[in-house]
Amino acid sequence: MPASHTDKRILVLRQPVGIAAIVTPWNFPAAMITRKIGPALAAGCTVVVKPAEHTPLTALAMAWLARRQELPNGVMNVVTREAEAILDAWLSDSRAYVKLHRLRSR
Amino acid sequence: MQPSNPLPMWNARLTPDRIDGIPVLSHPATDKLLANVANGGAPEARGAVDRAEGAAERWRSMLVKSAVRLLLRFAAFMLQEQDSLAALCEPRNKANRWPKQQEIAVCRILPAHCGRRSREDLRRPRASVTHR
Repeated sequence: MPASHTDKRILVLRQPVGIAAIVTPWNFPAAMITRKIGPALAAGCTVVVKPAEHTPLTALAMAWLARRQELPNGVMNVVTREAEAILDAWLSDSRAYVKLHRLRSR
Repeated sequence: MQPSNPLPMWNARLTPDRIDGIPVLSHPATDKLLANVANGGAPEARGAVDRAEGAAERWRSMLVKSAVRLLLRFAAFMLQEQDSLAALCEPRNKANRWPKQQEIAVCRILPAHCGRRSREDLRRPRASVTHR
């Protein structure tokens, strides 16, 4: 990265933190997921996605598209329906880093 | 359209005692059925994390060049299929019915569930998908 002082050098190391557990709202179901799985996958994380209960088909379709492009099995996973139980399981699991995107449209 | 089998979750298997409890996905405005969706819960969520953990080492150690190639292909494929993805969440039409293209999109993107189209079909031009 460019540094503010010429005698300084700034390095950014992008390292995977582990498993990104991603919870997305119903609006813009594709964009909400891609803007989260993109950086996570690029950094080397694997992802588990819990789409909104009203719009799970887009997430399933995207997982299917990922499989067709030979993304390794297990890199992108989708779990549908019971938000509370799924979130509880992930929040209590130290392996998963939960990225929660809440709805704030105005 | 009222599919009898639930759409499977991706890499998250249902435990046998939950297979019967399948809710349906309905349009919030019309209450019409589009598809059944598997009723995932805590066991499935933990199973998905297990699978993600199993794949993590392989994905992390993959050459950057290979991972970039895969992700760019994935992105390009999503752009190629954006109309079908959009049709999945398109609102109802004026006649208060599910647009036909939504059914087509589901069957097109998830052929393993619908069983109507083969992979060869998917490579053909999408002449049957209409857009308003």
